[in-house]
Amino acid sequence: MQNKKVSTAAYLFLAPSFIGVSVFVLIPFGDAIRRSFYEAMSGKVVGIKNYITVFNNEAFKLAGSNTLRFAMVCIPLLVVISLLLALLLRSTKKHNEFLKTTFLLPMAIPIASIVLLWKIIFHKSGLLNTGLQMLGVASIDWLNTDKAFYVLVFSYLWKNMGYDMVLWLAGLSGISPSLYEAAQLDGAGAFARFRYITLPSLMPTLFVISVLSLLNSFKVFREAYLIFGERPQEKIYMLQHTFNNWFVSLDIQKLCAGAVIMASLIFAVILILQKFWGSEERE
Amino acid sequence: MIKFSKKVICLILGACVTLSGCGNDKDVKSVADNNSKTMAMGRYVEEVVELPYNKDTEVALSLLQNNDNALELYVGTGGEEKYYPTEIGRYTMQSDGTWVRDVPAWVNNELMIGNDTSSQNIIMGNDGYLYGSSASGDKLLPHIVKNTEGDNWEEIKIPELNKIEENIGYYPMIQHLSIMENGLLAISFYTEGKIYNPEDGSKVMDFATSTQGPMTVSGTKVISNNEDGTAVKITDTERGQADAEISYGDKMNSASAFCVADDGTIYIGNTQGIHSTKQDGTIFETLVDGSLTSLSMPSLYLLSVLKGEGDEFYTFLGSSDGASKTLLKYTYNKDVPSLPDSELTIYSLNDNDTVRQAIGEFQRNNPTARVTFRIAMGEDSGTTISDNIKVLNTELLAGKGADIIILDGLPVESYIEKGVLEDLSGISEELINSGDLLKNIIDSSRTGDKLYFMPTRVQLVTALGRQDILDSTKSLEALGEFAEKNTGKPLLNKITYKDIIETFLPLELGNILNTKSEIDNTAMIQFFDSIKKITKGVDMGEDELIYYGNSDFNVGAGDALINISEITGIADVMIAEVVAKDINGDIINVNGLYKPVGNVGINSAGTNKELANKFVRELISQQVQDLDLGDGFSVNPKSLEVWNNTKKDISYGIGSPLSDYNITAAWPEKEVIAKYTNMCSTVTTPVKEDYVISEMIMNEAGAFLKGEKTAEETANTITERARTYIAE
Repeated sequence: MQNKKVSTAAYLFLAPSFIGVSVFVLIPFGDAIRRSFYEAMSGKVVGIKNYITVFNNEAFKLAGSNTLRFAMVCIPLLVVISLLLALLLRSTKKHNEFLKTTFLLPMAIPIASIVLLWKIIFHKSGLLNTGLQMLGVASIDWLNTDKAFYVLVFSYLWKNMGYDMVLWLAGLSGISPSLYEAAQLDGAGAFARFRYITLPSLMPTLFVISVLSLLNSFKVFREAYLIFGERPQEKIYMLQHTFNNWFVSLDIQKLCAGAVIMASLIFAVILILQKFWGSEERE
Repeated sequence: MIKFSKKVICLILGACVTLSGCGNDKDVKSVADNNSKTMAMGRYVEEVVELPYNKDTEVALSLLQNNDNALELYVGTGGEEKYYPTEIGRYTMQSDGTWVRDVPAWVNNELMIGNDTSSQNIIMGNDGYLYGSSASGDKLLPHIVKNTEGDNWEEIKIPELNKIEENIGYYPMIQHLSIMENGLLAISFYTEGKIYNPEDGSKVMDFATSTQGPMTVSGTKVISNNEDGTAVKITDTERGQADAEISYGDKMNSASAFCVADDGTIYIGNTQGIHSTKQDGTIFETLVDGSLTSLSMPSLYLLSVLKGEGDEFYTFLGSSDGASKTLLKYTYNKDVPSLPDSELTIYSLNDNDTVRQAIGEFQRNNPTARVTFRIAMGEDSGTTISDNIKVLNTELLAGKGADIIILDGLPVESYIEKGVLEDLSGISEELINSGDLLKNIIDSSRTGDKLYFMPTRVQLVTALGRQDILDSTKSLEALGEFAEKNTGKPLLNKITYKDIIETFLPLELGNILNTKSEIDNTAMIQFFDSIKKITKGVDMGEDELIYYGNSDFNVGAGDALINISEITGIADVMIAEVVAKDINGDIINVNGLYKPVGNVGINSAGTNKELANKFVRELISQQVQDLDLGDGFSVNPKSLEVWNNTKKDISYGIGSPLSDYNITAAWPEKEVIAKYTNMCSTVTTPVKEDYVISEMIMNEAGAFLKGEKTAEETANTITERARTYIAE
């Protein structure tokens, strides 16, 4: 009876949030799934024709490979760098809060300001090229060549490092110090303690960070769109650019099919990550 | 206890936040319910009052209300030229609506008429006397006269008006003249206003006014716009300072005309309608909605607004070409719905004068329909084209969207492919058969055997130059070869890289992009090669202030050998023809190219297709197409015939401080106009427009024109970048 009361109360508290998510996310996504089986405007059912069109579309394939490449480069980098930062910060005795705040600041800066900053730095006549010229290095066109990929990677790492570092710190603080003490007593060195205690304990945190980093990697489209426009250099042409341009040209059927494909893939990745890393939590 | 109190407070707050909207919703719902049951009735209805003057021999000067509240129309006649009349006549409206003509002796004096006297204006002063103003001579010396008694008159001398303004080289030009009850003269000039004492001509004070200074007087107060046109300013001449300002707010335009009723209510007329406010008020009430009347038509501009008997208003309007005047009367009809019961929505990325004109005519002919014209990118809009297209697409996907879509700048091919647009073949066939639509324009607008959009105007792509150069415009390659062999002046004047591409790309984009919208790399390389040759010796750069571009004037002045441009109306023809004559050259249409403008389509999901069809017919009708609004030539053959026979007493002058060359262009002869109207019937190829590819080409062209890249490298870069776009 008590359990039933608690469950009912819990559902009631969850209801507003669930209704909001349903109205703004689940129902529209359901509509997108529905539209992916229809023609754009006529309402005629075309089955999986839109999916075949999307899979055969060169722009989609290019965007998909660029998005995958971006995720494969950025997420491991972000995970490793933020973990190192977290470990360093944890070992620092002074100014911890100040340093944490400093690393979190990039998340608080508005996108428009960040875009302006990158344009000033990475423009052909920008600060970076001026610095390089002073060192005797030729200017590089960061924004209009394949170097644009590295600009985007840098932007992503700079923005998300602090956030992931805080998540790592939370995970690290959940490891009991007595385990380290016991290991030290048994003669384990720093690396051994890291490898056998820290890393395994951080698996659930790794799962959360990986999933969030994966989802945040799609948000880099905002910077890409504002700096490079609707049709950027080939190497940073992402799935969101394709979807954006399809919407402008009213190719809603392709957009919905592409969105369903992308969502399914991300969901599959999350499930796989959960199986390997998330299951540690349950254990 | 404290925790419990906190919980109770939170619960109460939560309940308040959740439940506070409920009552409001009910009220809104009940109001909505009531509205649907009982429609609001009563609004001002417009009717045209036929003006009695002969448009061929007389020119309308002023309209006023005399001391008996009857309308008086003053007209000029005689004289070698229309605007220099040798006699001023007067038509007085009788109680039965007829007009009676006479010639008041007092106004036909040596200061008001003559071979070099123009800009006559007759005003009813608040002191009960009639006044007249005019300007004479080369420097437009202003005169003011007063009808004292009977046929007697006297000149009012104001010494300040007899001094030439150094910065413009003319005497002060009177924009508006009003006379107060105490006889003081309030005069607004172009950007300032002054009060004068007629006794000795001395200035009493200054008052604020906006550009071209519409104003009126009430008692001892002057009512005008403030300097930046954001508010009504009431200046008390007794206290010598501004009394009050009534802000127009964000949504209201400044007044084009004022009038004040006996009770002190201020009435304001502008393109948005007729509005009223109190002198000590803060808000405006719209009495006559401009969007439902002719007040919003671009072909008319408001000269004055008059309060008639009871609830009546009159507006006196001039046509934008200066050729005629219109008198409209507004009467309150309580039996007509406040808002017409059916609505037609029109969507356009940018404003369009032809559409606005058609809306005015349509509203007049269909008083039960309301037209809402939605302009996505207004003057102050900070949005991009694609942002607005996304908004439109969202509406289209929801099965809504405007009934009529003006397709300029929109992804037309995509809309056709998705079935967004209705087939207009039926309408077009009817109009072509009745001789109201050019067949060549429609044939080149078809997609297969269907027609999904109809241009409402065409701009002719022309080249101006000597004959030997014009012979080379058969292709860009030929022009490039000519330029290569040319040892004289460069083909073009100082020009930016962007302008070069904007000038020549439309001629070749149809070859660069094939019918499947794929890029022909060879054609693109050829394009850049030709551009390189054409720009041999041309001074090019990026700064628009220095590299101000190429024009007909530059060809006449000898700074360029050719100018390729789009002719949008007879005003463009006037200058071009003078230059062509000066250089013993000609103007030709380039390869049958034209730019279709105001491409109208009907939304296949629209709810008012019948009204939409009617509106499309209105757009093509002679009522709209007869007018030269400067946005393109007519697509109606009957209107083109009217254009041929149109004569106007206007001229343009262009000069430059950098050159001794000056152009004075008068209205062309019929044969000259016919040359261009005939072009409209022979053009065959619409200029291909693809803003994405055009932008890519423009972005890369700079490096090519600076010599940093070869034609092949540039073309290859563009082809690579465009590959993704085309693949989408």
